[in-house]
Amino acid sequence: MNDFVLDRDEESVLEFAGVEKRFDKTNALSGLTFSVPRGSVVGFVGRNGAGKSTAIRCLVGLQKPTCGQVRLFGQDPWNLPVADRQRVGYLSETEVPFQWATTRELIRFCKPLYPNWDEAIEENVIKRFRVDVTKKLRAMSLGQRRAVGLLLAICPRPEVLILDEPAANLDAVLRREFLDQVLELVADADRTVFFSSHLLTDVERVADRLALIHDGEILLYQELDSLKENVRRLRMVFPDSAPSEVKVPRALRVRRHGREVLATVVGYSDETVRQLEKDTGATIETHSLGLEEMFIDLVGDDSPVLAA
Amino acid sequence: MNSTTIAPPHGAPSFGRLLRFQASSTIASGTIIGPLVSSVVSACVVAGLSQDVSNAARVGPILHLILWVVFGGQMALFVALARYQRTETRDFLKRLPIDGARRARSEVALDTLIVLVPALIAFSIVGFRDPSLGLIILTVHVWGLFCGILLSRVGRRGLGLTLAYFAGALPAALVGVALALENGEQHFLIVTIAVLMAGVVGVVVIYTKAAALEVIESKPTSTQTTHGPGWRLPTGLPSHTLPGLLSHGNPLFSVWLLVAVGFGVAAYFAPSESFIVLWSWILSLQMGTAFAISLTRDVTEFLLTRPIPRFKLYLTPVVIGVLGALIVPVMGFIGTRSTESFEPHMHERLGLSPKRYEQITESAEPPTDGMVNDARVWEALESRYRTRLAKSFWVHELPDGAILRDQPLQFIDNQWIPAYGASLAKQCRTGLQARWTFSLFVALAWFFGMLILLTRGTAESTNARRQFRTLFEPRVFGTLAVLLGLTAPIFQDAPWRPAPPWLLSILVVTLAVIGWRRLMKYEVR
Repeated sequence: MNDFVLDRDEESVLEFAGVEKRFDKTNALSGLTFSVPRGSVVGFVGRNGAGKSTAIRCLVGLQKPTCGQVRLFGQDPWNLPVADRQRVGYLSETEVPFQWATTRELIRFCKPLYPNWDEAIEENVIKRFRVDVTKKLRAMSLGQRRAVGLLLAICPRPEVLILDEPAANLDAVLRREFLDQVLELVADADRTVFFSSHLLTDVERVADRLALIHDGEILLYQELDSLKENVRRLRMVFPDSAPSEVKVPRALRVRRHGREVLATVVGYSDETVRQLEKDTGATIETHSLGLEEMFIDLVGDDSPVLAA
Repeated sequence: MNSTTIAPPHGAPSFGRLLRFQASSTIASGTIIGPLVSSVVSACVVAGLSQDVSNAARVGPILHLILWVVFGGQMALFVALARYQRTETRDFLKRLPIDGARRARSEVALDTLIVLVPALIAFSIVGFRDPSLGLIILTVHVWGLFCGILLSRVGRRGLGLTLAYFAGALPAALVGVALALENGEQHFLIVTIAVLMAGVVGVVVIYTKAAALEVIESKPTSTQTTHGPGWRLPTGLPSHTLPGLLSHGNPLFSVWLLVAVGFGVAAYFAPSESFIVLWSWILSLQMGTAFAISLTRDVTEFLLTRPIPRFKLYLTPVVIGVLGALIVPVMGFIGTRSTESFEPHMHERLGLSPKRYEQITESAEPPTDGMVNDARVWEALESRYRTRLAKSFWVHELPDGAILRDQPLQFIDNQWIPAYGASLAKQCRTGLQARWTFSLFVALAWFFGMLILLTRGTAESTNARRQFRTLFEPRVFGTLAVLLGLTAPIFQDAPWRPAPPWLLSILVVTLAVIGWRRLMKYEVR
């Protein structure tokens, strides 16, 4: 798992080190280990119940890990000093709870808490999402309510922005607007964004790194470009039926479909492919994968797994 | 000709299953626990009160008042709340092919269970001591049921709940006024008026707020139904001050605070052990509930992720809650002390010198001279320690060993029978003070107990099983201990005695520490 930890010369702003979180008999996180360098935008993906929200809750100090360490700015988020909390923006997957309040009231509440509150961003979000600041949250559309949540998270100009399913339930146009707003924030400074999402197209568009969590563990954590380049699908066609066991080095997932074996592999060169052809006697085709295919290949359970 | 046969349905769900389904959201919201705890504890207090009553005519209005306000209002509130909590379930069931009448019957059956089960428990506690009181309890529970059902149909949630509470409570006040007038008991009339005023002011506050801030919710949303009743929440709002809390806070919280003041005034004029304990308890419960509601998951999550120190988030509601819970005992204590000043010239009225008056009222020996046998001396004592509690100290044991109970001080064989040989006045004063202190401890302990219990129950739980597990966790021991402490002193014949103050102090401090630590460690799930 040390592959997911940064080199010494890279400065990490947030870090999970062997984090476990148990709820009664359920293991939500099982040894989560990875760190995020300053200035990166990390998409945190995984299936429902994989542990994304639990990890984020540990990261923002809402929950304590059962064991292991979570670090935000090198400190325990549970006891993060107020001054450091001012450097963090957080948007929960749930809506802003004060449905009775107007946006203006909420801004009045939050603004004094942050020294770097940016009125230009505030104005921009209000304009972009057509938020009526005098309207109560409960009278707004879902998109506008999420926009208010985003406003409260980004107006403090946080060094680290943590978003839990920021664009869930939003239509395509709003989603695009939403992400553009986040991108604008990170474009002008060395800010770090860590966001969870089920929408891989969004992740592909915004993130420069991808962290894939599965059953409470990090399955994959790489820069998106190198991930796309490194992770390939091999389509191995055997003359007769495929053997019951196929040894594919550096395979993340291997599945059998009749005469074919589909293997999702990492870091394969043409030479490696030719060597595998020789070893197995199969004809091999290589395909690059979209993020969504990669995700399904890695964590989907519709096909029987032969080896991993 | 081919025909398509539609398979007959497997059958409508059984009534029991339907009921269970309906109940699940009610249980999850904790509203089924409320009436149960409320009824049992109140019944214990009422049972003690009925035993403590040595002057039925005098206590009548108070008893009626308490019974109606507590049981009527609470039950109506609980039923209305339970109904609102079931909104989602009801909507879900409406979409299923279940006969509407059947669904409605199961709803009403559930409401009846919510009200009648606690009523029967309360009746069994009180009824064996005083069947008439038991019957009143049953009647009032049923009244609460009707009010709750009817008023939950008012479309606006906050309004419905508020009306439900006052529909239950106002008849109490009216009965109280009528009985007070009939008995000519002015200070009880003041008590009743205080309650009425609190109620009226509460309603005015709610409507003023509703008009100005539209605090009252129009319809429960799914989020509100899951996470709580959806009133405006007091915790961590822009102002961490009492005015901020009042102006922005939960309307019911404001009402409770006013009721606290009302009963604080009442306690000043009518200090009585059971009365105070009862109201200490009920205020603590109400405040605990208010804060538990305020500490919903979403609110806590939002506030904890802002740069606000964790302790500050909880400090304000806890401090205000403690202060609120203290109002009654403190006022009562002051009231007890002040009664002495009501009769500064009693010696003159009795034709005694101040020294002689003091000598008699402080006498450690049974009265022997003619003056002591004069009923006026006892009246003086009674005036001086104007409480039923004081009288219960005086009248215990007749010379032949018979116990005097539930009747006024008696003039037997041309003389008043004194209590034990110890200094009557001193005993009265010490006893009263000890009990005020005790009440204070109970109020505090109960508050923290309920805070722990309800915070966990409401804030963390969205499913019934977890809620029940939470409720029966070992941490609840504190609350149970308080419950025992609460019931112990009111049964004066009981072989056990109230725990000594030092033990109560330890209990309170322990509970406070546990409560605080829990809040500090609270994880949002």
